Amino acid sequence: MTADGTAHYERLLGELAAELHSHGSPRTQRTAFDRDLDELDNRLIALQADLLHASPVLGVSRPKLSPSPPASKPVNSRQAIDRAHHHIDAAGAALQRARRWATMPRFLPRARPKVRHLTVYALCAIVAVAVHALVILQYGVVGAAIGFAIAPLSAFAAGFLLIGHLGRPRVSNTTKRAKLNRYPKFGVLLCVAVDLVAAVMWLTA
Amino acid sequence: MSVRKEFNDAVSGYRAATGMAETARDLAPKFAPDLPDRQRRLITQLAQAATVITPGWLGQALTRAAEKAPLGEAEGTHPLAVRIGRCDAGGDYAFPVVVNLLGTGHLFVDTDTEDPRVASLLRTVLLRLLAARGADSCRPLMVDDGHETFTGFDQLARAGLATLVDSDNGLATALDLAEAHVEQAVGRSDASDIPELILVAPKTPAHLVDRLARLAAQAVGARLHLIVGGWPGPVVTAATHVVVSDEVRVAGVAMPVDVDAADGDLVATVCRRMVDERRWFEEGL
Repeated sequence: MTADGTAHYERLLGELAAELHSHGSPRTQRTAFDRDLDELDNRLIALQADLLHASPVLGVSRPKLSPSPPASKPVNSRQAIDRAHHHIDAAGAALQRARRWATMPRFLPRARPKVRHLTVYALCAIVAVAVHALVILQYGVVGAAIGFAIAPLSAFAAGFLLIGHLGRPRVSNTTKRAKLNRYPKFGVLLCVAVDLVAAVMWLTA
Repeated sequence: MSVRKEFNDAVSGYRAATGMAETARDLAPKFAPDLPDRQRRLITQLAQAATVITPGWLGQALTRAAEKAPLGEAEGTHPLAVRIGRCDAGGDYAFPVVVNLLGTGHLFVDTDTEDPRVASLLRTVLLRLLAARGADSCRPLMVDDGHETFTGFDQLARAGLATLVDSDNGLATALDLAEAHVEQAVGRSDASDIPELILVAPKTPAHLVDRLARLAAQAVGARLHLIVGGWPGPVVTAATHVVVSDEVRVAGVAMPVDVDAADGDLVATVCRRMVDERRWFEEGL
């Protein structure tokens, strides 16, 4: 029985081979996509891990990572896989840029430190003058005269503190906190100068 | 450009990619609906035919549930086919892959047991043959490969029911023993009363290829069968050749094969049973 049974089994194998040769093997097609889909899944898992790891480091809120439907439907699986890889590449590049930006100061990252810090002082001085102007409008120049002293001091203090935050990167490449030159003398001069200009304007108004 | 904007762009890209990946899966071809009727019928018939020619240990699943199945029920002089794995066409359509071995031919694999699939193949085939034939009519001659391929079978060697040669010059020693077996078988008028010797070699050194090929040519009629891994040589007559790469391919089978695996404890349990049965038989004499 075994010899007949074996011959029957081998005959069926031959018929199956002929069938697969004529009509192709669905498993072969699916196997090729399985590998590509698995590779795609692996890249997505790695990118997801990168995004979740990066968000607290970069100081951004935890992202929502649910899938979004394609803007235009691909014609077949191969095209969809290629487009998915393209999106992953673009996302990876954007994350790299985000990390690079995070290693630069938060305000005017491309500017030189002196320009950046003096700009901070200047902006603080302008805000201080604006607040002082509101007080003057309320109480008059004489009533708010002390503001001419308080405004530049507070502007300088605020600028000095803000530089500590805006002048440093989100992500440091070193374990030691970077020393910042806050240019305090220039800062004081700038804040006082802005205040003096405002005072002259009020007095001559 | 800012950190937040770039990070949000990265998140948008990720979300678009996952949406596209889901679409890719939906568009990928499925199995069962695309399997033509004729293929489905042939696969079903193959599954039935394989079950008929590999009864009991020769074809059953090698799980712990098989531990207590009777041993040695296959006829000692009839040719035996043995299951080595399975072809899966998807859905419910799969069939066992069966090769002719005892009484008919050999099994040659082009990759050695460094590949775990090859190690699994050698273990499961040996287990099936031993369990089906019993230790009296089937004697393994194993060449140790240093990879624990024969873990569990070594107790047969200690009980004198098998031979295990160590890896240093092991195959040459095994070939000496096999050639002596062939001489003995050829010298008898009826060789059917000597046990079948199954030489299991996990790899093939280049300088022994010719000797193995010569042995294979005269082996079957002398109740010697070869199960060889790492075979670099040409096609051997009366042997089923297996090619191992990303997929496992068996000569004559048009689909990739998933080789069987045996539960680790099953080998040890079956061998222990054979040793105990032998001891009980000898004590009874």
